[in-house]
Amino acid sequence: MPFMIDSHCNLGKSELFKIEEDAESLKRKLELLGVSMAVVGPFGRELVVNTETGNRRVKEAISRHPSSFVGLAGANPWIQDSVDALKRHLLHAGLKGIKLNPTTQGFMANDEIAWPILEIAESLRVPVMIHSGTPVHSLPLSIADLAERFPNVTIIMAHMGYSDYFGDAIMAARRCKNIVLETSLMPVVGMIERAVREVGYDRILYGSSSPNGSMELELFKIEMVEITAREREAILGENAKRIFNMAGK
Amino acid sequence: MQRGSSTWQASDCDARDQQLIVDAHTHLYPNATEEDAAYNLLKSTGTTGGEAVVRLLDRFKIDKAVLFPPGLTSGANSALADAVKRYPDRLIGFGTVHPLWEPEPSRRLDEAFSLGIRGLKIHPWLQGITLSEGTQRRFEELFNQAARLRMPVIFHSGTPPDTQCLQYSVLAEMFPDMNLIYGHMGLGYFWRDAIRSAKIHDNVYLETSGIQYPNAIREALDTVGADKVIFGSDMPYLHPAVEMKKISILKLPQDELEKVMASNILSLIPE
Repeated sequence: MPFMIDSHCNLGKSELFKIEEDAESLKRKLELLGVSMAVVGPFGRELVVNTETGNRRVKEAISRHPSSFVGLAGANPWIQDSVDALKRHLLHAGLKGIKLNPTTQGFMANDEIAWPILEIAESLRVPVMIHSGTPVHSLPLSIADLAERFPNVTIIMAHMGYSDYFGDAIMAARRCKNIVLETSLMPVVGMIERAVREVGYDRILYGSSSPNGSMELELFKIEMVEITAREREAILGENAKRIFNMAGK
Repeated sequence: MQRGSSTWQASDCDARDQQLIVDAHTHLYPNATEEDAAYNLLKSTGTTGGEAVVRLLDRFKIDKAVLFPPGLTSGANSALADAVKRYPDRLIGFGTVHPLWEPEPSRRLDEAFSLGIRGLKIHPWLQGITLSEGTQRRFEELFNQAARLRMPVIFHSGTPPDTQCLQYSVLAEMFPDMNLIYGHMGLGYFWRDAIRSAKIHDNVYLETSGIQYPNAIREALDTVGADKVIFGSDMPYLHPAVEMKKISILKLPQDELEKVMASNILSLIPE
């Protein structure tokens, strides 16, 4: 079994499906499916308004299971306090990256409202995960525009374009070497094969968007991708280790 | 570069225990190039056209498939009809007619029916059809004829701005004798609208290919019942093993599985 990292998991309550995920339920899923670690972040309400509740939840999870979880800090660019809190979370609480969702937070991905957050990411050398694929706020080419403005920040394009924007996601990643594609909730196996050919296997991350997405299904999707064993291992774990700076894990 | 072959096994899918699997969403492809998402699946068959589709059905243990034409106007229906005639036990043809570009669309549909085609596929996004309210009357001739011939109409759904499920809901209301199948059940953006629409309208069915959330299919089953949910794979564009896995994850009881995997779609197809 290769070393596997689920690079996109959520903690808290899903308003979408009225389900909840806590550190223990997520850890059980990882164990059941043989996944070694998960990158966890806040989502839903706790990424949009109650960001500090969400960040506290993430910090508690990683302090309880430091060998299972790596944490991302949520911030809403409209809420100055949440932006101010970022440095504290990243410098002193061990969180390894930042999470944004332009659709639910309500800003165009390339709008300057988010630049202060990208500047923090640049100064602290942490990646930023951005929801992609929902028109109008989260279009891959808007994210590419942001990525071009911050070439030193690694931008993880969550869902690599989601339902219908996978073609744009690949185009964005070809243009911007600092964009990494995350595979959750993107339904086309052949598009992952194309991304491996056109973007390169070292800039693709396996993720599940659990609990809204199914970890079992998302892992199965990666198994179905026709690539070499080395490429698959990179997508399933090695790339995340590098991108989230998990030396020694 | 050497590429590993797919590790899919028939045993990965609980649905294999079914006596019958009918895939309600497959495509007859013209030749796919390497940029095409369908490339690897098609290449694995070593052939093209209808034969490639049937090889894929064999590989993934699917008994029958509803097959769409390789084009956006009725000109593509004869290639589809040829494939269906060659494999009548495996393929069911759903043709297309462009409701706006083609003169006398109802006659085009009659011609398709006489070729053995038994349903209609409409893809407003790719066909460039605006569905916004006020324009639906322009489709009257075609959709009334589909209803008269009892041909179900499957619509691509889920991509804004012209394939949104609340727009299709208006069509469902305007053409109560036409059966509508929402291909992809609204995808990530509109699956809740799709479920609500199928709940309100007796003539609306939901097809599962492409929808990213097994939980959304679960919610559809809980809300509208197993009689209105139809399995489809969208192969060779999407991967049939992944699409079947999505259903098997739900661990449906046998009677529901039988409806979703086969009998619902078969019951909609005219003699």
